[in-house]
Amino acid sequence: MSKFNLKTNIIIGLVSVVLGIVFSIQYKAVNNDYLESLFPSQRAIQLENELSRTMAEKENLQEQLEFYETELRDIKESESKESAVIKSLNEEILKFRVIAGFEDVEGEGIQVAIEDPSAEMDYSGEGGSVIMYNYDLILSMINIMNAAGAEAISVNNQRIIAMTEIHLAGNNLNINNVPTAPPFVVKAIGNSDTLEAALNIRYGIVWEMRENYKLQVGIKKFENIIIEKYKDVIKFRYAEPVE
Amino acid sequence: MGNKFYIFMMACIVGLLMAFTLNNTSGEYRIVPFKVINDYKKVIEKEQVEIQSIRNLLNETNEKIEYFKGEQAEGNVGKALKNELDEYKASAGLLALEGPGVLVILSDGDRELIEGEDPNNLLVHDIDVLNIVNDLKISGAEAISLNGQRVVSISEINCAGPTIKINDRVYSQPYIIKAIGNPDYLQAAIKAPGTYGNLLKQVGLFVEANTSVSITVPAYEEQIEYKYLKVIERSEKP
Repeated sequence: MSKFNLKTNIIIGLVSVVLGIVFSIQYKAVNNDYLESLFPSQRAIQLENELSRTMAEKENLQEQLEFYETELRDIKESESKESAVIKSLNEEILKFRVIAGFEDVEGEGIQVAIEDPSAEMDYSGEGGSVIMYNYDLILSMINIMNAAGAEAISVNNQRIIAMTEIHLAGNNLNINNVPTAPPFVVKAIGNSDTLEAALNIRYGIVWEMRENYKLQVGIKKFENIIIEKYKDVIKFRYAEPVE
Repeated sequence: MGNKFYIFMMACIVGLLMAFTLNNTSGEYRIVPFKVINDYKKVIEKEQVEIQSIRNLLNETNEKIEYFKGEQAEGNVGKALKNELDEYKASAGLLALEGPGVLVILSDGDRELIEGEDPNNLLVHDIDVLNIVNDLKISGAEAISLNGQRVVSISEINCAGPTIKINDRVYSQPYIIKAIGNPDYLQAAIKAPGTYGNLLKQVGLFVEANTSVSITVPAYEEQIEYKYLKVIERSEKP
């Protein structure tokens, strides 16, 4: 072959090396763990704007709702002063609204934060969320809190009411139909010592979460904790009151 | 000659590539992990669901305002309030309800143990009942009772050896769960392949779900007295 073949070969060699590096970077970015792959920040900025728009809309609607709720309350209570019957009915309604979970409440209680295993503790190697997949641990925790006399419970600010379901739907854990994701914060109102002890019992729920699932669980006691109300309409389509 | 041409071509291609990449980002060029994008999407999805809920509440509140105004004009506020009271009682589980639904029977398995098998495999545990109840709720159950005890927000289901305890009452086998809702959906929640109920059946437990035109679910019987919980007073807004 001719004499400048060597130089050509060197150039082609260099180009191949550069291409190889570029490929490997690309490949790594996409293939490694898809949650750690890289995207240009432009998309993030778009989403950020969308989020702030959505939040503004929510706030606006929330204000409207509060305005109309005040109006409705005024109508209901307008005759309370004149009629003792109306007054006691209004008091009864408030009592049952509290029991049904339609009012914000506060009181002594605890807060449990549940997080997925830290990277070095996660042996599953699947990269998915352990707590979301094993959501019956949360069901179990709610059940234990109820046994320990909890008076109100919420998970990620979703109030647990009689009809609350926990549902693994794709990439989300739906509670009251609202998508939620880890970390999960379970709040409960009740005797904080009893609640903490019930969770922390040897070989109990927190032990199981930590030992068997390597989840990170933290319990905090509070003198006053706020639990938000249930925020949707309940309409029965099949159930009727018994005559 | 050939060398210079190659180098020129490579320089052109690299130059074009860089130009495209830089052009792609207006302003600052940062790279964001997919997790951040994913988190944004999740939060937006959640916010949108909550907006829909607030819209539902707004509609309901407006309907109620109209309703109460009408009743007020006719002097029937008392009656309207009583209706509303019943609605809240039903939501809280303090009103007996009836409607179409499903009746689920759950009991320990009666097959022989495989040698060396843990007998616990054939027993019903509280987590089994919790999962079944949760599956029924996912499928739209409106009211659920377990052995005649209404399942409410503060109900606890506790496996105490051979018995099960719910709402502080003790029951033995079999566990009878009644649920009101769309009978087909509810039955599927127990029987469809891959559901928790189906899994239990495959392990060897007794699981049966039958639809019914009329299921009666009783009201919660215990007195609810709050010792720790206080209602947050609504801030008086002008």
